[in-house]
Parts: sequence; structure tokens; C-alpha cells
Amino acid sequence: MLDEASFHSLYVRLEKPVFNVVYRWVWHTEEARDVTQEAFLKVWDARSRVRVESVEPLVFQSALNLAANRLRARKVRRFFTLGLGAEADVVDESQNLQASLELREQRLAVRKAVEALPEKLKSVVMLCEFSGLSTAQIAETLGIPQGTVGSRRSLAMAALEKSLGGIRSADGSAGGIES
Amino acid sequence: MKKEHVFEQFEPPPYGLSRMKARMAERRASRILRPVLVLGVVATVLAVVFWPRAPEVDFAPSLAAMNSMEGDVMARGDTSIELMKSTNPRVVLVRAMVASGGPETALGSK
Repeated sequence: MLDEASFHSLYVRLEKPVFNVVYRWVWHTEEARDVTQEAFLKVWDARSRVRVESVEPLVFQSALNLAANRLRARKVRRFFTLGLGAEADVVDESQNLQASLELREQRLAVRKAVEALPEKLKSVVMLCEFSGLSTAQIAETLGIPQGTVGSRRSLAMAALEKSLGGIRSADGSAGGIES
Repeated sequence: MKKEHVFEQFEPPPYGLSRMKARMAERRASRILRPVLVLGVVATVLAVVFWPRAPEVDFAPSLAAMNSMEGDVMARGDTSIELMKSTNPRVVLVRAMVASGGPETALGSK
């Protein structure tokens, strides 16, 4: 069973990866932090039923569910308020304080491309890029076969490349999947 | 566009772990407090439902006594009450009379 000390070290280790995944759903720093912590708290509440070896996929699974719920709630709220306050809702400048105009535009383009991805592809590609989980763990997190993780990741990368006009790896080669 | 820009790593806000610990402590406190609150509400509801009430007052003897005073007239100020005969021992019949017109009316009629 998970004890408090190991839970805290798990939080320290996974806070950034979970935050980065959740951020691609809510696009708001404070909200992403809240969702990240809520996901950890859910796992903490269920610690008596959690196997230590499956705790990491569980944290990501919980975070993805909570992030998707937040997004849905935001859409419902926007529908009932006829879009009033929608801008204030999603514009998060805390990550852009030090950014140049070029970087801001780049981030906006990435956000549009990521938001255009279907949920299933987005979950796979974000977990692959940020979580540090193995393919088997990602498959466990999403409840899909391992082969599907690979195919969805390829589809997601192709869609992102199409939207962003190609993705180069750090070494300059085209195609971002094999970086 | 470079891949590291597409999947840029953002830093979460600082003091995440302290905040997390505070939230855990908050939950622990509310977990202790919740049963106490629930017990309090249940106890209040039970007390309201099962609290012994005062026994119902039986007016019959006093009504019978009043009926026996048939024909008596009680007068106070410009009001008088006459007790009437009632065939039902549980009912008291009275006739109330109020002298109409105060001093002002009397002056006006002059």
C-alpha cells in the first residue's frame, strides 16, 4: 500500500509530466495545477485499493478524466452564458510573460493544432510525449491494446504535422516521431 | 516547426508539494468533521420527531362549569357577556354586547 512519504515522492516525480499533459486540455496554468493535484488526491483516497506498480498509469488516467470533465464543464458553462467571459476563461498569460511575440504566435498555432486533434489521438500523443510511461503503461492507462497506442500516435503526429506544416526533430530531421 | 516547440515543457506553478500537503490535511480534517456533522443533524432530527409533547388539555370540566353558570351576565366597561343555555356540554354559548358610540358620538348626536 502507498504510504504518505512515497506518495509525496511520487508527486514530486510526476507533477511536471502530469501538469504538462493536463495543460494541453485546459490551457490554463492554475487550472492545470488544480486538476493535477486533484488527480493525485483521488489516487491517495483510493490508496488501499491501488497496487504500487500500477500507480503511475492510475495518476495519468485520473488526470485525463478530470481534465476532460473540466473541459466539458467549461463548454457547458460557455453555452449557457452565451460565450460571455469565454476569453477570460481560457487566456492564460502566465506562461507567456517572458515570451517574445514570435513565440506567442508559435504557441497559439500549436494550441490550435492540438485542440483540433480528436480526443483519442490527443490522449495517446500527449502521454507518449510527456508522461514518460512505457507503451504498455500507456495502453493500460487508456485501456487500449499496445498496437493501438502506436497507430494512434502516428495518426496524431501526422495530423499535427499537417496543421503545423511539418515537425522537425532536434537534429533537424523531418518527422517528429523518431526523435 | 521544431518538435520541442510543439511539445514544449511548461513548469508547474511553484510550491506544488506544500499546497498538495495542505490539501491533504484539509481533506483529513473534513473527513473527521463530516461524521460529527452528520451525527449532529441526525440527533437534531430525532430529537424534534420524538421529543415528548405536553399532554392534551381536557376542557370538558371547565366547559361544564361554564354551562352551569347559564344566565349570568359579566359586564366590564361598555362590554357585557351573557352566558346562554347550550345543549351540547362541550359547547359554551355566549352573547356579547358592546355599547355603540363613544363619547364623541354622543356629543355629535346632540
